[in-house]
Amino acid sequence: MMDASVLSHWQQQWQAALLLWSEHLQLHEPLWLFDVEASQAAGLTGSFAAIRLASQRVMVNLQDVAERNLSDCSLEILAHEIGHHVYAPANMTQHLQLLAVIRQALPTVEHLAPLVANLYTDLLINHHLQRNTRCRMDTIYQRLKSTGASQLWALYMRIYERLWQLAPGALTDADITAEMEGDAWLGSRIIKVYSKDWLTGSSRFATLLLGYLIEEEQAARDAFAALNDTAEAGHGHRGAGVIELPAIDVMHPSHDPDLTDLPSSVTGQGEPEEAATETRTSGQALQPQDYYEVLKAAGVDLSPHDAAVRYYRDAVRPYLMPFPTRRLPGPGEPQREGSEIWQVGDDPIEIDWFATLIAGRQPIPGITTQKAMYSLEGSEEPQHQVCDLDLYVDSSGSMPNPQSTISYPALAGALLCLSALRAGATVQVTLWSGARQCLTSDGFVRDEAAVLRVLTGFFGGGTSFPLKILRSTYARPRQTPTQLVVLSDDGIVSMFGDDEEGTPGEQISALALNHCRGAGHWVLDLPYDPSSPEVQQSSWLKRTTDSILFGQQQGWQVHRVNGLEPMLQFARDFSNQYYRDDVPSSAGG
Amino acid sequence: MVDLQMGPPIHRLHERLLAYPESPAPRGQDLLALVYDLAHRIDPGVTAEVLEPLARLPQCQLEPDEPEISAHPDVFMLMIWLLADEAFSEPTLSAIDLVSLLLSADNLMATGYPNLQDEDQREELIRLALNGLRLKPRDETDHQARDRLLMVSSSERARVVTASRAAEERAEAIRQALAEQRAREAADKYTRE
Repeated sequence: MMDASVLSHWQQQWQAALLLWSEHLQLHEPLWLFDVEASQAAGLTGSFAAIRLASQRVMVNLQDVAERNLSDCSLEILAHEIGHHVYAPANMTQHLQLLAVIRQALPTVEHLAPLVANLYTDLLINHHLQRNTRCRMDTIYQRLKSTGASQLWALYMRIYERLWQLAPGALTDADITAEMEGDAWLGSRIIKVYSKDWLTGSSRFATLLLGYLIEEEQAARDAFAALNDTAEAGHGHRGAGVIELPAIDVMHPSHDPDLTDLPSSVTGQGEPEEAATETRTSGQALQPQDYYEVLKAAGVDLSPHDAAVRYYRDAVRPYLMPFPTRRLPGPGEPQREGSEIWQVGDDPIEIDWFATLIAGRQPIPGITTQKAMYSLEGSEEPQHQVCDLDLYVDSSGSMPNPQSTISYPALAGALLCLSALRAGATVQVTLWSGARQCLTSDGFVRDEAAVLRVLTGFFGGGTSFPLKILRSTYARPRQTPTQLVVLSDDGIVSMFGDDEEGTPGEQISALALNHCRGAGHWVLDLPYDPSSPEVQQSSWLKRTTDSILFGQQQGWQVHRVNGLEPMLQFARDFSNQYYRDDVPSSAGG
Repeated sequence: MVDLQMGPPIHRLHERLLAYPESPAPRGQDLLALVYDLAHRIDPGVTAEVLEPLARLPQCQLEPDEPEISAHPDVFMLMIWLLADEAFSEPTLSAIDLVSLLLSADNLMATGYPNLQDEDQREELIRLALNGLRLKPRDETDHQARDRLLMVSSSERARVVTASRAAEERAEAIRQALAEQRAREAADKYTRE
């Protein structure tokens, strides 16, 4: 059992460690763990200390620290963990960026990005503490001296020896070859030169370690297990991921003129433009698959589908727009007409508990909960009515899987859904592919996660438009004007087949346009312009172009979307064309 | 090997270099006068004969209106600025060593115009200056001082960077060959199927 004085000592050192970084720094006191069971329950396994960026918490396994003979390094250990919170990575966004940048520099061993990120941020923090505070970080590594044969461990220790000008062998007894000596020097340069722009430095550092990681992955994992205090740093994160990375070239540090600072005559380096064989990664957008891998690398526990939901939500957030509304005669005093079901997603304050209890059943949200319905008497001032959104997403094999690669139709759909929900509309989303491959939200709902989950699903099967759902949705005129949007490619032609009852698709389509009381839109990911004369004359594309022409004659608005800008243009047009305040209202365009 | 005298703390010398003035540096005869003053302060017994080679340095022969070659100070000017620190008045130094150091200043480092924001370049310049005057940083042993000078020396850096780069290029070639082999195998398999 731990002595109470030990805990008291660590608590005192916590305050001292905070002061090493800033007088104004405030962090929760660490979670002190006293045995293996408590550590495992807290998710601290393998390492004797760890951080959680989501809760801004530090965890320390005091028993493990004692067993490793590090009890007298309390200030160093705590100051180091605080460093992860205030310097590198400091927050979840930067942690995710760090992992994404490192992954790009680790082809074939991307899964080791968390280890590299940890080694790198440890170097940054430890060097700062060793140089600028009374902390003796080298003591920790002397105590942890590994007897293993990991070349990476030897290199890592040699980097510290160089950084802190320790005698060769102070931290590692391994034989250091000339190549490793060069790598160690470059590693120390990265830490010194990129201490402020450490995201760029991380790419160089990962490239430096790449060869070692490929050679001895398991040995490296084993050697650094006790130090891996950021492995689960993203645990519990519910916020945004990383959509786009800053411009960072992937190059070996020996080719980086900011690091080597030696003239070409000394290093044998040619002209700068021919010296570096770097890969340009300037400001590139991450694909949904990478987005998921980065979150997973940060310790965020979620499925690829959940990650895709977050990806499209984050991607369209900067572009959210006012959703179309219709001008209606202004209301007078609201008059209660009765009650209706309060649904999950509605404002909880609208629940009419009296009506719910009067109904005599147990309150079940969304099932028996009631809310008041009001009618509004006419008045002089016009009001804007929000249009509902009914979205049909083609998920056949010809469409990109939105969970793997960026899908512009899905992006357009996400933008419409979130804009609609933000404006107060309800949304129905239907994902469709083959005859029996159809997934739909539970009618028109206001649940953002639910609609995005359907939108970002994927079947990858045949192409058969879900006429049954279209037919049932528009069997009667919609009470609320509804924007009917179909995201597809040339699979849109399946809308004009017959449904399971033998009703022609043309008839269902016409009825839907008539009963939606809004407008119908086809958002098509087409590599060609169906309106161009060459395409219209092509016998290969005749069925598609004829169908599109017929759809236009029926009243469908056709939008071609094959990139970010056309998608945004569609979204803007969608918002403005019919419903802008200064344009007279028109239900269907 | 000659024992080294204890010199100033190294962090003080880093700060000294970081405080290098932005105002235009003296040139020509003004600079020569400054260097003579420095030599007299360091070694009051210095003779004119010892100082004489300094007058032939290009920096001491420039006209005041000649344009600057670089916006950054060269190693020679940085040495003058560094050694003018009062901390160098404590140890007993030889003007012969000083003159020898200044005469070779331009060739000591790989770069003629060090970046003062670069910690390694500052460290190299400081250690070269101390070593030239047979000094070591305070709180270091002779052995440590010589080891650390080697660690930051440009020529040593060039040697190890070249080794590192060669190793990386060999590894990259192997990785590319493996990737091509995998691609060929995949293509063969695809063709067979």
